[in-house]
Amino acid sequence: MLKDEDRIFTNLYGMHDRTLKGAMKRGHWDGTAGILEKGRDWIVNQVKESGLRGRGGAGFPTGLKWSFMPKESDGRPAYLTINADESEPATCKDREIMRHDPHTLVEGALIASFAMGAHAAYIYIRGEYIREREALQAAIDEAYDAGLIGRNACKSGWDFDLYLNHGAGAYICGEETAMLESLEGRKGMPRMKPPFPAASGLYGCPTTVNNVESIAVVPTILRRGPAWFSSFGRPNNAGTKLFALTGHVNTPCVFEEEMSLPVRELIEKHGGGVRGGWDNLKAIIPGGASCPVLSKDALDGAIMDFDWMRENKSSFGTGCMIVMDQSTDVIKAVWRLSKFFKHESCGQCTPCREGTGWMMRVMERLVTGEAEIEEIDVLLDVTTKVEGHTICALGDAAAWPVQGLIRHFRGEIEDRIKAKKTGRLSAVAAE
Amino acid sequence: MPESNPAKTVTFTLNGAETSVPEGTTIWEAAHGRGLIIPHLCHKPAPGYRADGNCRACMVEIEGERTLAASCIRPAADGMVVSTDSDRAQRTRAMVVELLAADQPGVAHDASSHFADMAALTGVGHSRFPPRARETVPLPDDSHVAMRVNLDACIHCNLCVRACREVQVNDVIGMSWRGFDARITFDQGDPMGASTCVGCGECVQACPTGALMPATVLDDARAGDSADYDSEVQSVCPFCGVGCQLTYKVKDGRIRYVEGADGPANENRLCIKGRFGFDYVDHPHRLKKPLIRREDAPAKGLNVDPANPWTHFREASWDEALDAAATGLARLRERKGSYVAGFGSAKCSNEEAYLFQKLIRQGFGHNNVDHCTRLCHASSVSALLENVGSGAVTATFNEIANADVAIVIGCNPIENHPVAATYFKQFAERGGKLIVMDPRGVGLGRFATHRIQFKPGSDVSMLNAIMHVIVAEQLYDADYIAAFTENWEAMKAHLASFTPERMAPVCGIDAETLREVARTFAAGKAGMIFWGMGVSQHVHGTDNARCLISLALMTGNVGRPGTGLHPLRGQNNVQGASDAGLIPMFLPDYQTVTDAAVRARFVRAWGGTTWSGSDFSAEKGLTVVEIVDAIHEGEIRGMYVLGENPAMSDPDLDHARQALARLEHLVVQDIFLTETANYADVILPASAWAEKTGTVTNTNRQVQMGRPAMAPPGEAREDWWIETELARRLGLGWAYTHPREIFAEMKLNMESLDNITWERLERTAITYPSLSPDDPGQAIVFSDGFPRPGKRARFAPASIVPPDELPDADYPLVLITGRQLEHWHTGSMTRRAHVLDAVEPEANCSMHPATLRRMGIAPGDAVRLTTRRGSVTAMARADRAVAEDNVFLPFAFVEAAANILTNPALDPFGRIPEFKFAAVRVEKAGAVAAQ
Repeated sequence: MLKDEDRIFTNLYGMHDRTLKGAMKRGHWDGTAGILEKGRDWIVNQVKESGLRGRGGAGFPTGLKWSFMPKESDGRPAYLTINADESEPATCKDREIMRHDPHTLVEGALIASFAMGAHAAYIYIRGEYIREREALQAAIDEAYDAGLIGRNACKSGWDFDLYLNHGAGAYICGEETAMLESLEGRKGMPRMKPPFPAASGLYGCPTTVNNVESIAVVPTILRRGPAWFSSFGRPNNAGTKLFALTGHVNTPCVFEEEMSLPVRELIEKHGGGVRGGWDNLKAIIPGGASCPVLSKDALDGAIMDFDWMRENKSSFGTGCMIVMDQSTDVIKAVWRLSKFFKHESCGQCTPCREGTGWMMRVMERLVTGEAEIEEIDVLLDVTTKVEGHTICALGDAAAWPVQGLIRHFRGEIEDRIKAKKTGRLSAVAAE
Repeated sequence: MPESNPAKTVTFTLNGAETSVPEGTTIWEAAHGRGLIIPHLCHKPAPGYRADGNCRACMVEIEGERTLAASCIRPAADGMVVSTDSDRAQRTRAMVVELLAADQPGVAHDASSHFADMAALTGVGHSRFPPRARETVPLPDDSHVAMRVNLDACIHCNLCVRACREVQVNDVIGMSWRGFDARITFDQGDPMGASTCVGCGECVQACPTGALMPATVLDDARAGDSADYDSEVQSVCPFCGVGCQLTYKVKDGRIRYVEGADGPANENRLCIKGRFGFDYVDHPHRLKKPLIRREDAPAKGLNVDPANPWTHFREASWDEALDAAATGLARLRERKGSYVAGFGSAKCSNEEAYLFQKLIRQGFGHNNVDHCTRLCHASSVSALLENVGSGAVTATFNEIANADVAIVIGCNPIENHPVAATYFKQFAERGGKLIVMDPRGVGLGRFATHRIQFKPGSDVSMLNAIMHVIVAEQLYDADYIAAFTENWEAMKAHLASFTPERMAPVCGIDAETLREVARTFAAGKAGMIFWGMGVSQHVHGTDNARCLISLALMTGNVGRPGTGLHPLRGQNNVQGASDAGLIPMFLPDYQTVTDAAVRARFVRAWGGTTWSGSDFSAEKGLTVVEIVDAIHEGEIRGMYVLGENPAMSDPDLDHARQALARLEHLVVQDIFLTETANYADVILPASAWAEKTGTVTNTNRQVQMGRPAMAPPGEAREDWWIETELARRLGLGWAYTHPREIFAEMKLNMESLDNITWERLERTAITYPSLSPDDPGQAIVFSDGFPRPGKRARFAPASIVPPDELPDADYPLVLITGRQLEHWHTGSMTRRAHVLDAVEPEANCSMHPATLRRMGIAPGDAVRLTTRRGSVTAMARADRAVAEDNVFLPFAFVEAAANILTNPALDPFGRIPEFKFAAVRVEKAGAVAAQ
């Protein structure tokens, strides 16, 4: 288990003072001006060396992303936008940062913006996060009042403004370019890429979009050094990370832990074990709704990090895991996800708008078993036509859980259809 | 996005072949250029339509990329390896079409839709997928008179949204809701017919599925086929001076529907008139046989029912009617040549305008020939000729694309030049500084950076104050002034006293705003000035135009891209008819009639003789209003009126109509029995524009070919044929058999037509001047000087002249006349077009709600408007765009003919009447009746 001294988020549960005073007591805002003094390149290099990968789900190396920002302005300003639209089902880690440890984010925003030559950063916070917004805004106000941000932030000579923008409850606005559209006051619809935000993002200016956690960990990494951070986890999966466990565990929770621990260890140590014991486990969805489901059989020796999950045809995602025990109708669970994605599809592009609806309708038939066996392959065929062919990754996200289901539970689906045809209840549904 | 440089090329591999294209070219464009067909639904390869990449029907595979790319929006890049025909790409595209096909209605609204073509291309015959639940299928919307909305066929491609928002900039259509529930929405979810839709039909033309269709194409079961027509005819719109090219789709000898064509002025765009205003040609009122006034007809007056003219007229053969027409005119001519005058028309072709003026000059030996330019831009033309040396625009209106500041004054392009307005709106949308000046808060003001609602008739004071600031703050372009102008010092001195502070109370605009406008316009790198009737139709109309010319000159805004002076011409061919000499003081190309050498050249081209010998009068002829006065004085006793409607369009109509009644012989040639034809002795049935061949010249100086979609009804004939026959009977020996022969004769004495031949016009539109046989023409003129002595333009100082008739206790309000989007001028065409008359069916006038309240008038009440000349009754409409002491009255309605009220006072230079200012009294109509 991660030692207390190696925790970045020391007030994750709100047990301590979340004000600026409390944050400073816990070591935040310590020598920030000194960090800025070392310059943009130093900061970017340190972040690169730390091996930090984006904490929002895609896992793109953060330092590398920052280095895409233009070194010299062509006259346009640069922006940092922070994605706090945490809306993935079961994902609730950034919320703890914003409501209990907000100064990690505010300090990180200053340092990251400086490193990218941005004098302004926008935090786009999820519409339902009302209290979180209040807590975060209070922290921003404190930081302004204390001269930590604003004109001549931390007396570094760098002017920096931080704006908090409240979303309106659309999942799609968590997609980075839809978020930019929404920030600009338009309907949240993803943009075509290229151009990528680093070339033309917010208001057509160079922009980096980072997850809350990715930004919030930066000050500590810079203070403790990249070697410290990369000492956790396997190579290419460095660092500590916020995880969450939801579903059929005995103690659902959000916690900070090092990367690359065995899945079973995480569930047992932090989640208090699967309800009814490990053998009662049916499946997990590792990192948010879009990650393909993994059956228990696939979890022998499973390691919770980017690489293992990718190698096993799932995805690490946000690290917020859904645990399902044997009582779960896994087909229905995935149907529920299909319904979610159909509901949240922005409707802009055909495969997603039409495909998510159609996938949901077929999933509905699979749940009741009122389908033909061949429909499973038609469904799989559609998911492969949706995947990789939409404007943004929502199409992929909708396709993957269905693909995972068919990969791991095809037998169960077929059983149910056959049982329906012969008038017998399937084993699962009988429970 | 980083700027792409089209001069640079990129090289990439397309289906195995190395391909080089200019930087910025999309994969779709590159493939299309090589003859490859990539399916596309949301992409419309037409000007103004941005690729959107949403339908995913054009996906291609790019080596090294996990996902497929939308080829319509992805620029080709160096080294890219693209495959358009890989199995994955083809199957994915088919899947997109199949998903969409699942929800298509059983019976297609458009059997030949683009979607149907693409389904065939991708091999999708039927869909394996179940259709959407019945209760989620959108219901039909038949609320619009011209269009049918059937969103059950909608594929959410967004083209109609782009059409409405980005191309026409009306922003009525949007995509509301989200995801599977997303749907096309008018305004706040209103039915189309109840929304703010202006009926331009751009969305109908853009829709690839039949979800939006012209009403005329669908049957009662909502089935239709856009390809169900016998022929397509490319021609030009007959309404305003923008000169939009269009395509008639003709079936069974009737126009089934109309689409915009890619003309230089309109790039496929049309407005409600151009797209839906064509069924007037089939109206039962069309004249199909020549008519002769019956011996026993009642006295001449406005007393003929166009549906039943037999109380006053009898049918005649062409021979009899032409003989009667010619004999009557010839008899008057024998007494005195100048007893006969002519009004030609800016609605006819260049050739017909040329013939008309030739008929009067050659056949009657004088210059008393005019047309509606006199009521339109005569003052602008006189100011332009005087100071710039040419009466036409110095740049096309499309040049606004290159401007960064523009003044739009005294015009209402959103209603009167709707397609030009789309370019103005696009200019404002992309950040151009748009200064809109008008006594009314015209629609374009919504897009303006500066909205200047000045007092009617105070143009000169306002413009002089603005120029005063430019001089005082030295914002003028000294180099330009030194190189290209004259009379600058006098101008400067003249402007010295016109301080903003002094002028503010006169024009009603505060001094600081005047300064700001002056600074904004002078600071522009490239500025244009557009104006309309609000400038020209005043007793100081020429002075108004002089000010605008001076303003452009002192800021150096002539002769470069994005600069220029552009009076927006009204009629479809008012530019061409004026160029063709249909004006009393000028022969074709504005060559003065007072010059004997000029006259001699023309007489030579006409075969050497005229009725009066070998020359005709050297005296400038009478203008429209002067001719009417001359009738009253007995100096003119007969008229030949072609396509004009002075009984509606002249100021002080009672006076004008009395004049027509006095005529001993009136020949009217028109397509309907117009108000003017009520007074005729002989009526000659002519062809509508959609029935004839001929060229027209639009506001941009673009000469374009009009082609017939159908034959004229009954015995109606093309105007040039009637003119020729009449001329023969007047002894002129004309022998034209086709308009191209007339065009060839025009070219003999019109330098403006150099390098422009009938054969070229058959192929393409040409802007004059055209400098070589393959020059498409010069959009911008006067880059290196002006057609004046010393190649210099002149500053013409203008002083304040008050309107002729100021409000007083008896007539306390100011009457402004004008037009509405749906109606054309005197309404003879548009009030007989069922869509247009349905959208705007009733004579109306607009007043500020506060004014109405003060008078106890509710919107919708009938009001009586009275001036010193007469009174009319119209429905009152509340409109905040109208200033509190103004009344706006459209002049298209015969039942409330605005010109009964208007003041015939003339501008001394342009001889144009003051249509835009009369003192008027407004009363509730019921109250008057009760007295």
